[in-house]
Amino acid sequence: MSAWSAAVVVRLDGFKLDVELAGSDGVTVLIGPNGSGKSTLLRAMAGAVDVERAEVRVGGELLASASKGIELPMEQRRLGYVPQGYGLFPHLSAVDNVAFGLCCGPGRLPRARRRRRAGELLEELGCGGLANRRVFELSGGEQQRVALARALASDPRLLLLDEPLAALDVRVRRKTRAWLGSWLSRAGRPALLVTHELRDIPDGALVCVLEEGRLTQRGSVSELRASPATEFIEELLAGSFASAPAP
Amino acid sequence: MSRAAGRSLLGSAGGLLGAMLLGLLLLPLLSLMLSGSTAEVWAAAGHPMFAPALWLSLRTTLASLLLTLLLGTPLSWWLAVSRTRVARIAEVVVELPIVIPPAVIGVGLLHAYGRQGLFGSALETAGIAVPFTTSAVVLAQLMVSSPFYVQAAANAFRKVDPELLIVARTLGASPKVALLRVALPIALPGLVVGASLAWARSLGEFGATLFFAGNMPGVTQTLPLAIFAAMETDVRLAVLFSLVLLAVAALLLLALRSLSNLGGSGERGRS
Repeated sequence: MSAWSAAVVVRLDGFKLDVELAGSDGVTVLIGPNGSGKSTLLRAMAGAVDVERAEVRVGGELLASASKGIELPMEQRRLGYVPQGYGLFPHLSAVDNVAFGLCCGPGRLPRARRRRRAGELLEELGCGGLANRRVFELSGGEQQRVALARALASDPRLLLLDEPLAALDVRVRRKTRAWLGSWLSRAGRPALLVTHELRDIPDGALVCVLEEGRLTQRGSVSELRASPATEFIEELLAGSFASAPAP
Repeated sequence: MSRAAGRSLLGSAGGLLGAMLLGLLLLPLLSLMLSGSTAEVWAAAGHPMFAPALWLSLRTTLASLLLTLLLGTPLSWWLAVSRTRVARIAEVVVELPIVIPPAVIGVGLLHAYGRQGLFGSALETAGIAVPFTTSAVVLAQLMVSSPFYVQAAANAFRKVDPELLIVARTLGASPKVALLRVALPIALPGLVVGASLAWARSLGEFGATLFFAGNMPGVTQTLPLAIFAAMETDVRLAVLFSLVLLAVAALLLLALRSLSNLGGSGERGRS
């Protein structure tokens, strides 16, 4: 049985997203060209956009089901959403950003323990020294780690990561890609990672290709290479993947 | 003539025009400042009209500011996030008092709350009289000043990245908590600027207050109305009162601006 599944229909200004997908305990990658609906799908699963129809199930629990009249509000879904640009709160320090996830969610901690636990989470992600730095003082890679620590703080059942490498420059991106891949395999919870570059796919991840609001292929990278289903996938394999470092 | 030279000429011409306006704005203030010695100002502050008028001004402007914050903050949030037609109409309603002359607002208030007014008879039945009371002063100030706050606050809320609120919600925050702990602190510098503008506007309020609340010492005579009353008997006293009002307004505005700068320092550093 899959760890999570989502069947979502969204209509936005003439664009229709109609997708059904499911993921295992590991990393599932959602890849597709710009405007294919990747971010919209993540937001729909998080409960942040109005959907025409949605059935989202994580760990056996229904978060949304049109047929059963269930639609949990965002704060009750326990999904660790990290948007493009990381969405760190600019008025808070790194440690207070992480502590935010410990003050409201189900794993709510007393005030005194929040900062300590947030500090521990930052340590776990290798950025304990940044605790008291303001968000605008952090580099892109540091911001990403703080955002991941914050997402983990709320003990999510599924991580939703929207282009986590897009905001980084080429050099940092290469280093962070390797770090993120190994971190996700150790994070101990399923993740749905959005990207538009094949080289950003962690080893062994299930890949779902989204084009113009529809899922066009699903499988491992080698399966995609064996029989690319669309022109976009062919181009993707020929371009980005060819220049990617060897796995 | 080269483009660079043209730009430089435009720059100096523009600078000259700007300096002219600055001069025009400063001239009356400077002439006020040069018109009285410190000793004279202290003497004027001891005049029996002064203390009650200043105290009333401070009390009423504080009350109208608190009401503006209490009623205006939710309204400005709604104006910022709602895309409905009703919200756009409400926005025009909020902007109206900025363009309507204060005297018209005063007459309107009289027609709404006066004995013959829309709500006046109902209020009178309930034993509540609003016109020519201290409450009328607060109401007049609220009417002319709150639009400045609501406009500035709505603009500040519009600049809050909606993605941050989504993140806050996914971290377990209810819509109210996301608003109070994320949107409000980020928009705070803009809210402070709006509050300072609203407060300054109500401190200087004259026309609507005169029409709706009258000019009764100790009850409705705020400092601007005391200046008006002093002009009829002793111009020198009016000048000195004006100096004090100028100093109080400038000090409070500076304090509020410093607060706003403190709150906004983080955002400015972002690149």
